[in-house]
Order: sequence, then structure tokens, then C-alpha cells
Amino acid sequence: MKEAQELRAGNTVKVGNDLFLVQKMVYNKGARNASMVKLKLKNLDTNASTESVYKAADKFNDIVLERRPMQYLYAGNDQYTFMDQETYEQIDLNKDDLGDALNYLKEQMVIEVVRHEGKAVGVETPINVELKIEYTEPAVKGDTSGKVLKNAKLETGFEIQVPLYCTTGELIRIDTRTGEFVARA
Amino acid sequence: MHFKSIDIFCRVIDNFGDVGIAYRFAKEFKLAHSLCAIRLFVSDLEPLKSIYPILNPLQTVQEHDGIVYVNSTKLDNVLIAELGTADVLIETMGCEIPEAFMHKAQQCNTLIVNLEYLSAEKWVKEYHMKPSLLPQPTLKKYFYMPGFTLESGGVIIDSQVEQMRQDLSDNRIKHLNSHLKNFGIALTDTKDSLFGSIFTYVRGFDTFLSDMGKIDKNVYLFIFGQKSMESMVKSLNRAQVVSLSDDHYTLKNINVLMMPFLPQNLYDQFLFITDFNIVRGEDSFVRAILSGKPFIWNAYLQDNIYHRVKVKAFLEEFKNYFDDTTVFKHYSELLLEFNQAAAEQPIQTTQERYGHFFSDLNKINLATGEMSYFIRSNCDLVKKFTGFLNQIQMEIIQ
Repeated sequence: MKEAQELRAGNTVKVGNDLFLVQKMVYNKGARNASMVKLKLKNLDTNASTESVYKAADKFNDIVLERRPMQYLYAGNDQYTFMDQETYEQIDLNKDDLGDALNYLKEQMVIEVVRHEGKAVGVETPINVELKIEYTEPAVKGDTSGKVLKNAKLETGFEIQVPLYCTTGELIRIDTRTGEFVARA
Repeated sequence: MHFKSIDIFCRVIDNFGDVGIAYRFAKEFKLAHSLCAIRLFVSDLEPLKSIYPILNPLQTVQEHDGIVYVNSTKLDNVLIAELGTADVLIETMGCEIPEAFMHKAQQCNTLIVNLEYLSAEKWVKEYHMKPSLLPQPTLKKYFYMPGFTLESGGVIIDSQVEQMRQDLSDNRIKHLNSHLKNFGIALTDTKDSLFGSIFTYVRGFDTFLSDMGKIDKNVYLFIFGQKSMESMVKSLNRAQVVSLSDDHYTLKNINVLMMPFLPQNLYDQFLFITDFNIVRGEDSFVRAILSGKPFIWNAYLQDNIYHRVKVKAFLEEFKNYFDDTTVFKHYSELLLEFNQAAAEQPIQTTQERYGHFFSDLNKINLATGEMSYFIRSNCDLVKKFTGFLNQIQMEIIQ
């Protein structure tokens, strides 16, 4: 069993008799230290996607589907192409299939492609990824506490909040479950 | 409304906040839908008795004013079989419905709604009225998110609020004197006086007392709740004030009056007769806004001072009601600093100053009045919740 807050794009869960692929997960802190998550789930039988919300501690029956490491090659016409490095088989996934993983995906990256009944249905990002900061405002002199955050655009185009001491060009580690800065890489 | 019965669940965590909201929702929903059977299941009836004194905390099941109250810790299979389950189950503030009760609910086509905490954060509207898939095909679950905007679920508005406002405004001196007489004070008019109520978590009031002491008026501070009282006494002690009695202190122009715990309806009224209110948590915060009086909000303390995010989000919303940006700037600085503490401590750990708050009282009054009007006109939670239930019903039929 996994808690809703532990899920991330590429995980598969069983709700009743239906299998769902997690495409997106957004975590938000509620009041009194309680939290909620919003999931975009794709029903693997009907291919229909649905948005639903949960308490962060709600339990899910997580299912491990077949997965294979594949290299992300390129994107075109909303299709994202991956290649099996052993068999050289290439598969295409669309934007919805990738969900949150798009935030962290860069060319040449090797990532787990999830398969259901022989067909590629999504990708699962590692919990931590390392990406370069493409741009962030220079630090303000004197504030080095790490508690104050600023915007940073990553090499994938995804924007996150980073401590003031981070600089453009720096490699940082990000938690893909929360989309938060973890540390300098 | 199609649904004929609603069971509301509430788990008392601490203080009176959650149960106060659950009770207020039950009461107002019943007033709006007299034919709908409402039951309120509470894990501890003792705090509910404080705000609704007619209740007997030792009785497992009881009915008052058309609402059935149940001690949810006493729910066993026998009692559940006897009570049955309603068409709609509401988990207030994400509380868990007892497993045996849920098991019984699965045998019917039941709608479950998680009525969440109030927040002004932007993400709230993205969660509002969204489904939560459940493994049991007979159950449907949704999240309902209260808020201050058209896109969110609104706040609970007392059906009597307009009448209460009018009555309390017309007879303000009479109502004030009814409380002041317990301290041997009788006023003939209010023109040289300033009245404030305080109901906070544990904190220091040192700078508050110091800044109030500079006001050219007689100040009457009504203190509610154990935490506020203990905090205030410690601040008074630090100012070396000698009490006139156990519940009455004076410092320069300030009378500090320790109030008995008031039932919910009387506390609501109180917020209308003061000139400003300092409130805490969620329910009294909403009542303070609805009263249209200037207020300071002591948000529920969260890990890593996350409550400041909640305060900032509220200020983003509140900003829309201020005409004067300088007044808002000073007000928001006060509110953010007031909520800067990471933990409840009866010493002054924050640096807020209140001078601008008191000099800007009239302008803050206008802004709060504007927000109150908007909320009363557009954000009635009970009305919106009824619309939501009707919408769900239509979806079920289709």
C-alpha cells in the first residue's frame, strides 16, 4: 500500500477493479498540518483520464507493472520518442502519457517506461533528478539562510523555487514527488 | 433537495474550532432544509457543550432543535444498526468516519463529502467539488473546499446575521453594559471609549498593551478563552500591573476584562459590538470578517511557520477591499508579524506594533465591511453546498 502523497507520475494503482496510471500529482498543505493531493489518473482499460483529490494519507493499492529502462531521444508533434538501449526498439508516448515526468525529461535521459499488456503507457521518474538551472536572478547579498526562496527556470523549462544562494548554470537535485529543491548536486 | 438525510462527522482535535464549525454547519443546514434529517457525530461532546450548553455530554444520542447529536466513540454494531446511515455522509475537516459505520454505508448508495478547512490559497478552487475515487462502487466521494471567492465553496453565514447586525448596532450601549456591569462598569455613551475582544492562541501582548496605552481613549479589552487570558495575565505581570480583582486589571487607560466562556451564539454577537476583534483559528476568524469590524487574525500554528502562507493568501484576497494601499501595507505588515511565531509561547517573540492599526481603524473598518458584504452576497456555504448536492444528484440520475 502507498499513501496518496507518496505517489508520483508513472505509478500504477488499483481502485476497485480498475487499474489507473498516475499522470500528475500535486501536493498541497491544508490547515492544521493536514495535506491533500490532486491526482490525474488514466484508466488503463478505457484510456480515460480523470482528476481526483485525496487526503495525503489516503491509502492506495499500488501495482508494479512491467517496466523497462529506455532512453528519451526527441520530441515532435506532441509525441515523445524513447528507445530501448538493448533492442533499439523505439516507442512513442504523448504529453498526457508523460504527465509530470515532462517537467524533468531531457534528451538522452534514461527513464523507466511502464508497460501494460505489452503496450507502453507511461514513464516513472526517479524520486530525485539532477537538472541544471537555466536562469535565476542573482542572489541578494547578505541573505544566506536558505529559508528565503526565489524562482528558477530549469533546463527542461520547468520552474521551481530554490534558495537564494543558487545560481544560473548550477546543477541541483529535485524531488519529483513534490517538485521541490532538495540540494545542490 | 433530493437528499433526505445527512450525517456529519467531526473529530475533536484540540480547542473548539473543528466542532464549532461542524455544529454551525449542522445548525445552518437544518435552518435552510427543515425537512432534511441532520445528525452530528462528535468524538467528544464536552467542547461542544461549551459552545452549545443545552447538550448533555454524557448522553450517547440526543436531539435538540431538530438535530440529533451522537457521541461517535460509542458507535458499535448495535447502535449503528439502530441508527442506520444517511444519504450523505460529511467528513468535516478530513476526519475519518468510523470503519463500522462506513461498512454499513457501503450497503447503500451513499455520497461522502469531505468538507475541508477554509483557506484563501489559490489552489483551493482546483480541489473544490472534485471527486475522490473509492474502491467501493456503491460509494461516491467528493471534496468540498470553503473559501472567500466565487470559485470556492464559501463560508458558513449565519441566517440571522443581518438581523443581529441591526439589533446590535441599534442597542450597542445596552449590550456593552450588559457585559460591563459584571465588572462594576456602567457607561452612558461610547464616544470616548474603544472596545476590543481578544481570543487567541498563547502569545505575548507586551507591544499591544504598550501601543494601546498611547491611545487617547478609555480602552475596554474583553478577553476570551484560557489561552488568551493566561497570555494576557503574563504580559500584564511583565508590565507590573496589579489586578483590581481576579478578572479585572487596569493599566493606564486600559481595562482588561476576563470574560466567561460564551456559547457560540453569544460570542458571535459580541464581535458586532466591539470596535475591533483579535480572533484565532477558522470559525471566529470568519465571524470577525462577517461582523465587518477591524480584526487581527491569529492563524492556527503549523509546522515550519506554514500558517504564514495561509495568512499571506488571505491578505492577497483582503487587499481587494482596501482603497488605500498604505493602510493595507501597514495592516499586512502587522498581520504577518503577528503570525510570525513558530510556537505558542506566553512571551513576546514577535515584533509587531499596533500604532497604524489603531490610527487606521476607520479605513480597515470600511475594507472589512466591504469584504463582509461580498461574502454575504456571494459566498454562502450552505446555499452553495445545496447547489453542489443538487448537481451531484443530477449526475447520478444521468
